[in-house]
Amino acid sequence: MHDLNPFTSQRRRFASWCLPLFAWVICGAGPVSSPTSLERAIQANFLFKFAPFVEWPPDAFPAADRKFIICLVGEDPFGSLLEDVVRDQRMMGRPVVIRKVGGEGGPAGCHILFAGSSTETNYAPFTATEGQPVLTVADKAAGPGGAMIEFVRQNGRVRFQINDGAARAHGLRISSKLLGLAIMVDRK
Amino acid sequence: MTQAPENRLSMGNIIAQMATPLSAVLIALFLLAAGLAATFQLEQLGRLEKLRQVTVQAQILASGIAAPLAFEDDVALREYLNALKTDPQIVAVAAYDGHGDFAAGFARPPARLPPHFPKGGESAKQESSANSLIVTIPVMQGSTRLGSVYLLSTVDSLSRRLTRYLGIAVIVVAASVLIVMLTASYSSLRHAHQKLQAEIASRQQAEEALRQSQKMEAMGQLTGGVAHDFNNLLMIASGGLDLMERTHDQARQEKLKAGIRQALDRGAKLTRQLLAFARRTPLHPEVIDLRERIRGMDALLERSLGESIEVAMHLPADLWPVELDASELEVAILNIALNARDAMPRGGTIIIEGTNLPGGDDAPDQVRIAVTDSGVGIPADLVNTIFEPFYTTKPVGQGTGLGLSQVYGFVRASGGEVLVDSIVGKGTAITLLLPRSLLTPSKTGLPADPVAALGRQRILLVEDDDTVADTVSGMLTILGYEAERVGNGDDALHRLERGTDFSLVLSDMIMPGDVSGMELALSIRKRWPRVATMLMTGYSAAAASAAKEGVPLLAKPFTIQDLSVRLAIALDQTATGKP
Repeated sequence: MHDLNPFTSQRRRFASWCLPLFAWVICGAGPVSSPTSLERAIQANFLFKFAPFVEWPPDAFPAADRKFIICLVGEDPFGSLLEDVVRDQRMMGRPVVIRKVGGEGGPAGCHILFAGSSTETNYAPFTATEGQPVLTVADKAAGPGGAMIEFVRQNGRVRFQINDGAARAHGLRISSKLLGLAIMVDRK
Repeated sequence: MTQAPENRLSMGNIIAQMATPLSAVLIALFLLAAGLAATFQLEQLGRLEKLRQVTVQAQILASGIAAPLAFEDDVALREYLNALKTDPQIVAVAAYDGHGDFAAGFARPPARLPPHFPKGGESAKQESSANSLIVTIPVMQGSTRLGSVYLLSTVDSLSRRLTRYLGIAVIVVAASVLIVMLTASYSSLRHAHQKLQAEIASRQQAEEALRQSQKMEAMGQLTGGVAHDFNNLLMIASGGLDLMERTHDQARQEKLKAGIRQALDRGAKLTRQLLAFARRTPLHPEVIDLRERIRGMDALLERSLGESIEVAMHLPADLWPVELDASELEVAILNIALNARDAMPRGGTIIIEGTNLPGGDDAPDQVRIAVTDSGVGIPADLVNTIFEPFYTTKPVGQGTGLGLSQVYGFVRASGGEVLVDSIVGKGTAITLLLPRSLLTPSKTGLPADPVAALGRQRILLVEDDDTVADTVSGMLTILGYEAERVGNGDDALHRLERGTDFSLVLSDMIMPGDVSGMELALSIRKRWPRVATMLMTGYSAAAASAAKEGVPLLAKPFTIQDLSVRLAIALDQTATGKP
């Protein structure tokens, strides 16, 4: 009996191997242009996949607007990567759309809000969603603090930590499967 | 009542018909086929069960690996997959991501994992081949498909499955062999049974034929003996009549008449005896004093037994009375005595003893009459046969074999018992145990003279036989009655319709014509109740029916004295209005 090599997949090799070595090694496989964008691609993928593990309250899905909306605020780190991930995907039976949220439009109707970095002073993207069932996500290294889920790097891999207390306070229930995978869970 | 055994018999027959070697082989084959079918069914069920089990395993796995697969946590993913290694039947397990690319898994050689998830395997799918089961399950979180699980499991190897079914196979084969063997043995047994039954049937036939021939032989002996006796009697009677015609000496005529009378009495006794053996004589039981009766036989015994035999009687005076047919009793004693005489060819003493046997709580009082001789005795193996009709040790023509049979028949009919004690060379004791009667014996000694008619009384005699009619008419006339004779029942009724100036109708029972004596008597009783009736017959079956209807009956042959007494009683009863 032997284990098959679990790293035969190009994408996975890219995700698990290349990340810690991106500065020194040129990885032959994968359409990779820069290490940063690789990391972004994984984050984009994760961002979308958080959704099935999170339970929104029923009033978060109005019957009039049958869409699952992922909102981006601040600088968009993903470019077309996120579009590629969600293309033709459905979430809870709804088509997934990406909406960039400006300063004045506000995050109304968003289900997931990703906050990128910003040069703005008084940049507080999550105050607008305070009290609303919106899953807030940010990169801990390059984004604002206070998101429910924050991407971190650990051993060269993209992981995340979860503020379950904040999520619950906003009426969101995060699956224990996802919590179990987080490197840190703040339950307060 | 007879229905059930017949049904059982027919069921048995059906089963017996079915139990042929061919049907046994068919049953055995059927059993084998049923065993195979059961095994196949079991196999299918086992496969189905296994498939369900593997599917459940895959589903649990799919649920567990949802998060690790979505967020590329290979360590956790492998932990989940490797947990299934503990099941040796799971040959290969793999998880594929949402694009169908391999994420993690293991396979035991020679099994191989597909590098990409098979197209079209997005929904749950089960494949089963001869020795393996493949289950693919999508990994879902909510309604989102995150990847797929591939699970390949072996089913038990053929040899292992065969081992499992070996027990059933052994039982089925053993049962089949057993059925064939049992049926074979049953079949041969049935064959033997049929042969045996055929033999029994043929033996029964032979036995029946033998019995028939024995009966014929006995009949021959009997008729020979009876004819011999009767010829002697007829010789006496006809010879006596011849002599009477040729002599005028009064004294000699009286002597001849006495001789003829004696011969006729013996003839009557003989027929009565024959009828008694045939159990057709109705007994005329009366309460009698045994001492008086048996003592009264001394002259008869002396004459019958000859000079070399002495008879000693020990009959106490207080011997209890018994109720039975006195003349039959006399015949029985005589028969026993004659046998005793024949057992003592050199002479000897016959002892007739009487004793009272008081009964116990449930045994009735009995009177014991024992007739003992000092003769040759009866061998033990013949003791049981001496009462059988026609059994005799005497030469043909000398004995009818009916003597002791009469004793037995009479005593049993009187409610008693007969016992035989015999020692070969010492002698025999035949004991009659007769039930005690609590009544007082009637006075014996009937009036010696015939009872003459009281006044002028007319009697209608119905008799088809002219000779008998003449004799009876003569008797009636001598007794002082006026007799008129008709030939049959119809004539009698016509005569009565013309005028009922008869006191009594005396009719034969069996006559030609439409109206029998019995019918005539009943008809007269109904239509002319003031006319008495009396029937005569020599045939005891008819006598029994008359007795049942309460019609007075006169058994032929009867003497003038019998006739006179019975007529007087019948007329008296009708006159006083008694039935």
